Amino acid sequence: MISFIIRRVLWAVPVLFFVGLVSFFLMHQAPGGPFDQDNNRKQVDAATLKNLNARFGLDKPPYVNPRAFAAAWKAGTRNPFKLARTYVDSQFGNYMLNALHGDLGPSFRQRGQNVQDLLKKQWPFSLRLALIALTFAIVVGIPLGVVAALKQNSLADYISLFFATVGVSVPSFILGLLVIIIFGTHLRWIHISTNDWRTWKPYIAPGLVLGLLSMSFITRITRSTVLEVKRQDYIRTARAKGLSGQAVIMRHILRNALIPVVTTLGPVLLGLVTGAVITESIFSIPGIGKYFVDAIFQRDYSMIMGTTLIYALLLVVANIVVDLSYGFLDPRIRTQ
Amino acid sequence: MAPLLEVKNLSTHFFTQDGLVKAVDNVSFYVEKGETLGIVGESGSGKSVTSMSIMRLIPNPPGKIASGEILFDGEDLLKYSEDEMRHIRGKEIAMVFQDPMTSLNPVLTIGRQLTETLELHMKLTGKEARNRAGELLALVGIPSPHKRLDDYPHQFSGGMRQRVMIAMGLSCNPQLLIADEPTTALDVTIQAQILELMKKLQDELGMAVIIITHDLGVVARMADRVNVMYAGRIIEDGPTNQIFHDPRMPYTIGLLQSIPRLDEARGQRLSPIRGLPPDLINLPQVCPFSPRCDYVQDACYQQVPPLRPVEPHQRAACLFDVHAPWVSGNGTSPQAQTAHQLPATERA
Repeated sequence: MISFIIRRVLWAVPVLFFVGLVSFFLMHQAPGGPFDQDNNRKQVDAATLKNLNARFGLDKPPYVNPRAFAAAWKAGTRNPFKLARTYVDSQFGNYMLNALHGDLGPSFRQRGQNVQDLLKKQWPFSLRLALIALTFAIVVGIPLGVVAALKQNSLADYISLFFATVGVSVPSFILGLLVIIIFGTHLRWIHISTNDWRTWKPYIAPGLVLGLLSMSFITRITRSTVLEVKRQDYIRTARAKGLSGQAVIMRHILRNALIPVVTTLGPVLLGLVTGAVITESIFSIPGIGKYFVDAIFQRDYSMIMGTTLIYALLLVVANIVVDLSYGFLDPRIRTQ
Repeated sequence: MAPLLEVKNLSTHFFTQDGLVKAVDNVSFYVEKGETLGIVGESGSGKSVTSMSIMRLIPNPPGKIASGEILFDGEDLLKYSEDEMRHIRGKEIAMVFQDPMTSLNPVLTIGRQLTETLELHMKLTGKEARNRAGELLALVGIPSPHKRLDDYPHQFSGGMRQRVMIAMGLSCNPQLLIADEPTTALDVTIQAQILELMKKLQDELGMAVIIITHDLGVVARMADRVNVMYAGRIIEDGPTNQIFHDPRMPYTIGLLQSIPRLDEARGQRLSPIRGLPPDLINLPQVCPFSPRCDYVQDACYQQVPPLRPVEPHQRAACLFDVHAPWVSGNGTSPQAQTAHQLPATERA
């Protein structure tokens, strides 16, 4: 068990490295830079741009710095650590080394603020949204799936199928706008513009919008696993013991059916995280997702890298937790 | 005295996309207290559906007990409510299923699966139930039983799991134990052990047993009486010795002939029953065995032969007085004997 955890944690290192590398590459492929202005506004002049680039290290080569390495070698440096350090004295290398120390760098656009400070300030908003969405997805999704499977081809089954189809096929940015139009502007049930994101109430509508896709996914998975478990021989054994229908469902069917459902929580979380980026933007929630989108439009390199790495880390940890809980739920895996 | 279990004209039907399947068709039999009844037949002959009907565990839909009575201790189980039926299942009638690998819940400990019934039917609590569960494991011969209560099914071998299933079946001292192919999934040495165990426990506890199998060896060893099923009907019944010695239905004869023998000459071919069992959808009103029967006559295509007494205690569903080739006696061939039985119009 311990070695399993250690192995999984060690695997996170290359995962995070490559996530960083790929997003760095894509970010630099996108046209424009962090200090460009709108076309119809006055651009930053050449001298200032040079200063800014030097201030943020953008004058260094992007990935590796063989020139600095050669210069150090000529200067007589032979210490392998120092030589290696000069070789990776590049934009990407410096960023990753600083990130390793917990320093995600200064934001290019939010003057005077570090990325980690910004994230620290914004993550509670994102957490609230994600918690509401996840709770909704699990608390509604699992019972709906169970009912749909136990009463196969009944009204409940068709209702769950309807919601699942809507949830999967309607993208959250359309659904979010629909919710704002119908419940915000016409029915006036929800405030479409609130400045107070420190209470829970304004999160409910965006939480449901964000959670719907995951909920439909969980519903369908639960339905199919319950249907499969229902047919197993050991369920027949349980019924032949004279157990009540409720005891058979709670003790025998659910315990077995939820194992595959738990394993899908990894992908579900992934859906929530990527969905949150869109939902936060639509509902103007000042969470990490909204900052992420803003950072992409502004080419705020350190902010993009920082949020991406945080998201990746979150998913890696979530997947480790899911895998551990899998072993906890299924004794056949625990002993291996 | 009334028998412990009496099944009268039981029919269980399944409504499938292809049509109505009469999985069990007008079946009647009985089990006395303390006796062992064997039900034999090939796959799809309705043996398991019969036992599931007795437990009222036929999945509905698509299945349904269409008609009949199941008298247990004189009470018709088919008239019981689902709640009343739950007090019968596991308590009065218990079942042991075919595949011990899949019949135990993989995520619950053996102890939990045993105590569950004890708590439900015997009203034992916590520690008492656990102790009793340990005793039951000891009874079925599992070494260090109390320690193994916390183990999961995958930590047991196949034979050990079947012992657990038997312990589970016996836990509430049922009056009737239905064992549905209890040894089919086990290898031969383990089969013998499990059968020995069942026989020993039956003698000790005095319950009646219905043993469902396609293995005639198991029947010969265990059963006092035997029902032979074919295409959802009982086509022969009687005391085991009598049926093995002088089967009177061509199907039973064929079954007994197809058993490989150790004392047979080398190179001798097995004599299987030719053909396949009939499709149970839209079964025509003829003898269901007629397409495969060596003794078939025109009359076989006129009606479904009723189960008729052929000897004291023995009944067979054949229109004619056939005997197996190994039975010497009157020595008449089926053809010779049946010619005069055919109605005059048929001969013309």
